[in-house]
Amino acid sequence: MTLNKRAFSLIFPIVLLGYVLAGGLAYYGYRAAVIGLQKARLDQEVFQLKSSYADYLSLGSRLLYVVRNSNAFLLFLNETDETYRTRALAVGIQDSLQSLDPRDDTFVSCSIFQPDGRLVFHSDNGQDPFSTAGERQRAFARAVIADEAPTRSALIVENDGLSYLLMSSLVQARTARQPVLSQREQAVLLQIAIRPVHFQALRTGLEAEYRTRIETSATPLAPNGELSAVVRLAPDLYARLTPPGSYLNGRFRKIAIISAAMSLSLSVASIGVLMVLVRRFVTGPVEELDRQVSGIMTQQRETIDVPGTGEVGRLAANVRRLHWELDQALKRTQRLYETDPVTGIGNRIYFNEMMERFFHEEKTTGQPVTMLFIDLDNFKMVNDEYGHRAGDALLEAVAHALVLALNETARACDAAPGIAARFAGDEFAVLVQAGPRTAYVQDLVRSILALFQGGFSVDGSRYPVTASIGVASAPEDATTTMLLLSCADHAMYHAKGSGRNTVAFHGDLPAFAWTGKSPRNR
Amino acid sequence: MWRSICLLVGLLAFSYAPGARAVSLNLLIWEWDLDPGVAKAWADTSGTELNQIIFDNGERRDLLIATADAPIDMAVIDSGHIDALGQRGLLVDQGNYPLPPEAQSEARWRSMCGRYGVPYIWGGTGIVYRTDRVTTPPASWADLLRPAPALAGHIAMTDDEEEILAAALGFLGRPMYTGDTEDLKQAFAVLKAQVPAVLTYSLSVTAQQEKSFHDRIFMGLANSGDQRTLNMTSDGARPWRFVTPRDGAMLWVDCLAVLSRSRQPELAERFVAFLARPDNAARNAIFLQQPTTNLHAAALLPQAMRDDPQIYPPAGIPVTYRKPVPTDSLPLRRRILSALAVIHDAQ
Repeated sequence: MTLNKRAFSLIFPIVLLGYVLAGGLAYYGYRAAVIGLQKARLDQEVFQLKSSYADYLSLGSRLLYVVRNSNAFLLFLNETDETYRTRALAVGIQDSLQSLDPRDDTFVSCSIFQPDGRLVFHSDNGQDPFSTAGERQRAFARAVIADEAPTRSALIVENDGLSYLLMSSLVQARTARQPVLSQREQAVLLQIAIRPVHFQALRTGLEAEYRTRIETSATPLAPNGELSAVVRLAPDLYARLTPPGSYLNGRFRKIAIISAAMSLSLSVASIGVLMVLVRRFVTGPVEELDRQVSGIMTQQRETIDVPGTGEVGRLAANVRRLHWELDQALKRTQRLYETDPVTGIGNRIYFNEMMERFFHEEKTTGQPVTMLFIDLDNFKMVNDEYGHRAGDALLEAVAHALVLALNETARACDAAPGIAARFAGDEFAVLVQAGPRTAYVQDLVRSILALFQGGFSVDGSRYPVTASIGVASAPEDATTTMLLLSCADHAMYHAKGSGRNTVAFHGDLPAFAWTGKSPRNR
Repeated sequence: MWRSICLLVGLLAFSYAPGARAVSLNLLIWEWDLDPGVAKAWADTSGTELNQIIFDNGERRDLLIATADAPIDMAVIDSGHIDALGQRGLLVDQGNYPLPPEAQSEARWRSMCGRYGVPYIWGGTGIVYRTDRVTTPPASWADLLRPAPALAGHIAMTDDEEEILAAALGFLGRPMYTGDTEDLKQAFAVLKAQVPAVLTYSLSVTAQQEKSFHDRIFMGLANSGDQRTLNMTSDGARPWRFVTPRDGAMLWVDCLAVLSRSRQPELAERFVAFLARPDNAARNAIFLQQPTTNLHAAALLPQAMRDDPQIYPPAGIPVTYRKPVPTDSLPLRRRILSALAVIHDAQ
């Protein structure tokens, strides 16, 4: 798992949990606020209902007052001749009623019931002259008379479905005043009926909005749950509006969805920002260090940048130091691995490596490769006569002389110097990036042979050793490293066979002399 | 009608004014229903003042008569209403004050006024219209109740439910004084259909004097004689005419009654006898442009007046004499009128 993935897997659940908790708290807070607001609104709406009802109550009271205190009503009450009462007096009550007609299409009616419950007068301001006091209104009147209630009001629904606010008052027959208890049996009932249209419209509107019925009761009602409003419309009329649970559920669902969406989107955004920051300031430098170390491992870079002084900086510095030390050790090992311990120049391994490289370059750049195979003549005699120590000293001196000759000739010919290596025993090899007929190779051969003119001197002692040199080149003589080595080896044997301290170019050898196999089985 | 009550209250206050030093009689009467010359002659003859208390609705007049403390000595009461008030003991029995033969009215009017009233003037219920606004003169109730589109918003119906329903029932060919609810339902339907064309449910002569209706009434339900009052209040022009509908005329007689509670019953009776004198009756009829109930007086009228179809209904038109509507149907008639007014206001 990468550092980024690890950071993500740590950050994601924590941030998500945090926002889910915050979203949940916000949801519950908002829910409480919505309920509070809705309750306030509900209270206000039922208050409007009460206010509207109060308007109608007030109208009813005024109508009752005006009719009760009108002269016509008093005359009407005191008149026993029903014909005369109807013909001459009833119109006066109608006038009293009309004097308070609200003239806003509010239906009002006035009915007078005798003690036996009989309707003796009815007038209204409606558009249907053939209507009369409905059955419920008459029943209400009979109940008031039976109960001997001095005044009473109620909200009833008539059989035709219309609501009426009824206000009744018992009056003494002779005086139109409120009757004393003992005379209530003979009292006449004056009843006003009003169609509380505005109240009903409010009520219907509320019932439609909240999809529930507004309950009314003559006895006090208590709120029904946290979202329920109760109002006292009249002294003996209470109303309760309790929206169903489903009323706010839709809104709560919406809030919940918004909260969840917010939590999720904020989580995603926060995680995104955090991941960017983590990547930039934490995992990025580590990744960069990893990339640089990888670069070094794949040899695409050589050193490590140290980013600042933090933990990652220190880590980078340590890694760089470690790398440097390892590199040095590796170089040392490499050097030891590729160096001939006797002469201090490259060994056969080194030679093979360089030959591979030169061949590769020959393939890509066309630069020819020429190998000089040098074998010391009479070296065994030196070892046998002067001892191995002298032999080793001779080998070391020859190696240095070869390198010197190589470098000087290259400098003189303005060519790349090439390399020199000890193959084994008394065998050396030189490899240059030039053709065999070039002045550089020719000069080099000459200067090497010149080293052995009259033997080879080491520390004042002259040893009778000479050099036989075989020269072969690629691509002229060989196309593989093995073949080039064989060709050079073959040429060297040819030189050795020609009289020592001489050179033989493989390209100059007769065709039959070349079998494609090394004279020695190397 | 509320307006008329206010008017009455104002006049009552006036009648109580401290300036009224001389003996006076209070007469409850329609507007412009007594020749000022006759009134002056009475004042000059009797040396007493005559206060006219004006009403414009028969039912409110009855209520005033029934109200014990209204200071009224005499009243003009139509034959349809007088019996109920008389039988209640509110009116003086005129049998106690016989008039000389020449002052007595025709028997048909005397019988309609009964014991409690002396016939004062008679007339018919019909249609008034403006000749300068209505090109085709109305001839039947249909012309009023199903008016031409041009008359929409220019019709005045009275606030008398008995007259309104009599017109609608006459239009339907039903008895004008029916107590049958079905007849009244049909009549209501006719009147309801007429509502959009109606300008006001009040007496033409009263409405004409109101600024908001002045010059806007072209046709109306009215009584003979109303054309005279309307012409008097029409800025000098005399465009108004009265027509008795050919499909049925309703004839009425107004009676002069003395209230039992009058403090000067003898003086009031003297006034009744003064008005009943043929010369005064004729003079008054000429002023009112209405037929007199007294044949001796009728003989004194100009021939042109006796031939005027606006004053004497043309022969051949079916006639119904106004009488009390059945008591049971009265509240319904009142509510029909009230409903018409409500429907009208709602428009």
